[in-house]
Amino acid sequence: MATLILKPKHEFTVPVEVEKIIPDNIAGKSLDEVLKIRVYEGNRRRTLGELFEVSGEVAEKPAEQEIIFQRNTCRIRRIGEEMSAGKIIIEGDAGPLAGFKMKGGTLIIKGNAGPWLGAKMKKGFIEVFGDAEGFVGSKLRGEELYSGMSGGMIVIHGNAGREIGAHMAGGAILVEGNAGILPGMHMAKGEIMIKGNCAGWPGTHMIGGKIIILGKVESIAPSFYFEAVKKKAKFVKEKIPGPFYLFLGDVLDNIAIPGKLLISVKNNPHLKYYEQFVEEVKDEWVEIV
Amino acid sequence: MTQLLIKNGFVIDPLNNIHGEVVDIGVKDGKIVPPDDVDLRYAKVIDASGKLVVPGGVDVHTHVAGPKVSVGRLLMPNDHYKKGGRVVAIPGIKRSGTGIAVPSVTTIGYKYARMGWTMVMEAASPPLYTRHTHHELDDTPIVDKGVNLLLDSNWFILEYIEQKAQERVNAFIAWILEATKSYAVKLVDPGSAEAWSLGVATKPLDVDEVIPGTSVTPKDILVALANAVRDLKIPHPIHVHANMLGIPGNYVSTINTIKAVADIVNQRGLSIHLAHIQFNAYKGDSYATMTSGAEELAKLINTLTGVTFDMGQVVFMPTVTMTADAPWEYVLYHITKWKWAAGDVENETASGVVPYTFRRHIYTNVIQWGIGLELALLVKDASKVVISTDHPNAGPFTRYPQIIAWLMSKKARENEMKKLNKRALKRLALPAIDREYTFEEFVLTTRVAPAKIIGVEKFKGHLGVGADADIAIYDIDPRTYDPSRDYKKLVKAIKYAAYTIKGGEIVVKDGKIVKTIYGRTFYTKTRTDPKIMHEVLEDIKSKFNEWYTITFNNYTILEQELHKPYAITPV
Amino acid sequence: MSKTVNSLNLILVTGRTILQGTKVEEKLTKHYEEYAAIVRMHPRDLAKLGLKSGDHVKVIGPGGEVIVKAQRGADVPEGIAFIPLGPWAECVVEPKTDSTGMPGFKGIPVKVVKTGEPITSLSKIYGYNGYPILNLGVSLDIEAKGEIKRYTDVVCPFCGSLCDSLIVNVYGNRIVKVVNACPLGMSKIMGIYENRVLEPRIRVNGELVKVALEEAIDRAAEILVNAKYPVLYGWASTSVETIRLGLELAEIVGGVFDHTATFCHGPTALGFHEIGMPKSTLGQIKNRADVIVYWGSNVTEAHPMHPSRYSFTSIGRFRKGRKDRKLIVIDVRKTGAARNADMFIQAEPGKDFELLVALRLLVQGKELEAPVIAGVPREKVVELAEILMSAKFGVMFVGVGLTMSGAKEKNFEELFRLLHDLNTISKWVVIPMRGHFNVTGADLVTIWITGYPYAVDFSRRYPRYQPGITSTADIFLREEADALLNIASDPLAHFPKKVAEKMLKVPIITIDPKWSLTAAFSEVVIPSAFVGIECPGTAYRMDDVPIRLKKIVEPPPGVLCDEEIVRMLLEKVKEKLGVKK
Repeated sequence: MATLILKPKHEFTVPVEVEKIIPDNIAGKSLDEVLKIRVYEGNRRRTLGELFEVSGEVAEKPAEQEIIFQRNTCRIRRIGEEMSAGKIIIEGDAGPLAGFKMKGGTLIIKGNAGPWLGAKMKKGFIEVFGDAEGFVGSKLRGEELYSGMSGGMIVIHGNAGREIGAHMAGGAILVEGNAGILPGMHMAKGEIMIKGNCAGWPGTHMIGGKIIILGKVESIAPSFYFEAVKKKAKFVKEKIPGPFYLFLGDVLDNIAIPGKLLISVKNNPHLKYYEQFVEEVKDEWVEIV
Repeated sequence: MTQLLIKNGFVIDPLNNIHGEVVDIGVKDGKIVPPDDVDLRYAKVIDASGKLVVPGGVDVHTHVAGPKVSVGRLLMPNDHYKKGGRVVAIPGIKRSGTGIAVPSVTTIGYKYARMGWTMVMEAASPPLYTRHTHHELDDTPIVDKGVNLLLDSNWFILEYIEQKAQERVNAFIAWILEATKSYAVKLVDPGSAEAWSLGVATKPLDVDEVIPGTSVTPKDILVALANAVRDLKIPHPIHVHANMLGIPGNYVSTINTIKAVADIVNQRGLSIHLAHIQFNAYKGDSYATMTSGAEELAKLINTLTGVTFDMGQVVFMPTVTMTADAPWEYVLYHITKWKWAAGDVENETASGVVPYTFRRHIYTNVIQWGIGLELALLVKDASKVVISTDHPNAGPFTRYPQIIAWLMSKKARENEMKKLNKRALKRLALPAIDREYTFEEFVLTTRVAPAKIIGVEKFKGHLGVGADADIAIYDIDPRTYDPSRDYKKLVKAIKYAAYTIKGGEIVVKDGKIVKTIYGRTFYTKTRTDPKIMHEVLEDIKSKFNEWYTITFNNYTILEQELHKPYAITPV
Repeated sequence: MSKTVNSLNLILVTGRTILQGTKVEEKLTKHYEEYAAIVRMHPRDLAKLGLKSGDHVKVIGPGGEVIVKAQRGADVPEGIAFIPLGPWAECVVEPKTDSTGMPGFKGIPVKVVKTGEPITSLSKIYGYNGYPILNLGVSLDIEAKGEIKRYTDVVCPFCGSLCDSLIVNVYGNRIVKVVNACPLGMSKIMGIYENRVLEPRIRVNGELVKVALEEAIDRAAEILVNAKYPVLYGWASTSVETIRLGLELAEIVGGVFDHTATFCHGPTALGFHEIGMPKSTLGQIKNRADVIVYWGSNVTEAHPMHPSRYSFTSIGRFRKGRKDRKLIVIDVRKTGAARNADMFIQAEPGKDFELLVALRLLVQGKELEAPVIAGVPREKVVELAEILMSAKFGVMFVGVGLTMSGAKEKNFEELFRLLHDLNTISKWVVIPMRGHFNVTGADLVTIWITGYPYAVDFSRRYPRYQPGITSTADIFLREEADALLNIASDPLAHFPKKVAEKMLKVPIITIDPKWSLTAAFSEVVIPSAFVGIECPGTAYRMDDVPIRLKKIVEPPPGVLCDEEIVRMLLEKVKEKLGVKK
């Protein structure tokens, strides 16, 4: 791997857009050409060399290129947009739209990520060590149904905001902390696991896919029907010990094969009410869609 | 003001009997003048050698301004995210814009101008909201414009028709056209908006059926409004989106619509303009099996002199349907199951907006595509035909160059047909049609016909002395270029005009916007018997408070509210 | 004698009141503090804290803390604290928008603590620590002398109802009487003589000094031209003609154009993007509606004329007055309209989403298992669904109760889906209760010129949009803006304090007829005249009907209309950027 290191020359006080600074655009160029790549500082057109001190090496092929953004702020937008190979590491926070439409490669954010992280991702791997905001792996407003993330994997070690995985059509999202409301809204396919708590209404309008929540869920939307208690669940082929309440839905969306919510029994005593709807507690594996 | 001399261009100007010859054109003070009147010391000379010079294009039916268009914009931010619609601002030259199927007003004006079009008629505006339509038209760059006013389900009109008081209908129309600064009388699925308000409009309304809540039929409305247009000498004949739009078998209703008014002829000899006729030319009884009613309709239209239509030609891409035909849009929503926005306008009309994608492999969509072209090719006189996509219903107007190619080149049609649903192609007459539009027919259908239908042929649609200097110069030479084989060149040449001149100003050069100016808004000021007008006004005022939610005085749009109003007073 | 506690956890709801609304343009007066620095609580909650009306309490929330006066409110449900919109509420509410552009104004968990400390002064809130906030507003002394004129069909420039049958009597150049207006409109029109800005000012060495208009315009243009990411905000209380120019200005300076919908009905648009909605003009309601629902809208205090002009007490062609209609009110507290309603549903704050889903299940004929939904017993939800399904022509008027709490934008997506479902059974429409008199116009102008409704970013010379990224609150929370143009609005007072703190760090240009909080902290202040009173202009009503507002009296000498000011600013900016005419 050849590593290129980018250090801001001054503190950014307005948004900086770096959608062209991806391994696909850098590999195979001379350092001079790389310095001339267009970036934006608010409404001013700049070059990479004007805003960043650039050191390190340029690789020949994108898959061999690593780019490190040092000392970042939440004001840098569109990092890793449409990248298809190589690695980008942000040693700080990333602004909105990091990993937007990503097609491959790896994106590591050591701090927090802004909203729409990995939205419309097709392939690749994103890891955030801090928190992420809303619409992780989702789509932009008004776009076609189920046109969110369709592949790849996003791991968030901290908390995430609302509607993570909304309109997801494949891939997987793992949140180790808490998640906001409506994770997996309009999900068609894919897997989401939230190890912490969920602020409410997971999976509304799901037509497929699976959401596993290990912490407390404030409430489940009434359009999910309780099906059974399951001893274990599977997330990205790994066994997750339960037991879990299995809810199927979304009933309002009239689907043949419903989406699945697997909610921890232990941490959701307020859902005990639902146990009256089944005759016995079953002991099976959950099938993966 | 700029003076121009366009030299050596190959001109087609049928209204002035120029059918393809080299003619120099002079421009001064925004008008066309004899070339000798141009002062060469101050004029810009454009050498149009090897290029086609024609009047600016005129669109007789397009949804570009007003409440439902903006509903469409708000409904489809995803249309605006697309790079293909992006217009980047160049300060001092052009404003920015977005959108492909539902562009912002800036994009609309620029993209029409870029194709060499210089006038558009907004297809449908509700009276209560027409101030909004004018706001949007005023912000639309370059093109001249006018408004078709929705009147078929208006409570006053319905009452006067029930009373069989034709003179009251006339007075009302004279008043409301001027009060809203509108140009022409528009009917959309006549009567359906009233039925829609009652919540009973799940069944489509046919021409001879009584409209729920009233004692009149759509036919009564058609006849009354056609009479009014004739009596008031309104330049444009009634502009009709016929009943039963979109329903298989509806070609019969379209024939009945035509027959209802065929002999109510205005002073230009025109009785009715059928909007986007493709959507009303279906034979059969289900979407999966419907076929083309184009042959029957073309046969009828070929025998009548007063009937004109615009195509409503389908193009295969994602687009947005929007009409005042609220019940039809509701049906379409249940087919697409994605987004639907509707808007009722008190006492007047309604609307619906539903995104839709026409696809090459879908049987029905291919039949629809074929129908539009069949109608244009089977009707013998191209001056009865106007090119349109009912923008954006059957596709964006930016696809007009492609449609022109389909009309002028059988090869272009065949290449498209290679990709289409074969079962549908077998049921269409189109594959066997050899006719190719000539360059003159192209000019007729995109300039002359619409100018005549709208009634502005005195200063639009021709290049004679006295006409507005609205000129398009295309980089093709009909003497040496045959679109029949190399139609792609035609598409490119029309999409990016070599020059577009509007009111004597060069606004497009080599397919790029070089100047932003704003055109005029035409409206009709017509007169009727003052005694009857007084009666009608008293009647309107007496009911206004109870029926409406704004005052009678605030309803009227003043001339100074429009940026460049231009009143046409019929003689 | 029961035990009292020192602190109580409550759910905060902020909102409009008539009294707060009448003083919203006089924020630096004692009256305003009386009406806005209060927290209303249920008598039992007051008793738990051992308080009576008038005692001071500290309210602590995610945005910070503030000290206000407690007030007894029998209409406030137990467990809820109500603070009127304004700087005191903004100290406490949730500043973060959860990627929606909309901060958390309602349904916020707070702690209320008894205290003896004084009420937090405005000067303390804005970092002035005891020094009085600069107040350069003056009273206009215009004699009622000369010709007497009576203007009819006057359009009121206050709220989205855009009532247009006002009658105004003018004596010379002085308005002496207004008829057919509600207290809010009345106070605006009669109040044009108070607290005016009469001279342009720019900040020199920390002081706001009087200058000629040209100099103020020049300084403002300089600020905008130098900025790399300016925000041009406000717009909802001025004319369509002005907004058009504002968009051109934002495009040329490469900034962000945003207006008050960003924290008001923006979420309605966000829901609309996903699914659309059935709408109608208000006349359809007056003439035909037999079932009327107000959801999250405090109509009698925010739009007092709405019921009689357009809705449940209006006389239309087919429906005459209250007896021909069924009125349903859904809210977290019993508002004025609720007292008049055939059915009042008290929903738990932030849980409307569940109620919407439950109603959809019932309308679709599916089973509803939960016994309680959003705090409402299932039987009542079933009753509500039945009334909705039996309507001949139903309308839902929705307010910021739904935009500002819980699922926010997704409340609207769900609401519109409910209406689509209802339309398969009966006829239903929805009309959003827009606040400012021309916020609908601000939306529409922005839509037709850019394609997007608000929060439009022009930094790359073409429109881009995504609330949560390009919305004002988020931009300032990320400290991304370097200038703020504020027209016909008071953002420092109405955005959460943490957002206002960031706004204070950038140069602010204020264009306003009255002296506002934001004016006090601006670099440039330009006086303007009132649209609809001193200037003509067009505005759009909440149902998108455009109406032309009139000029009734002359503006004070030297004070121009917004349209002219923005035009001058635009010309100056073009000059500085070397843009050819």
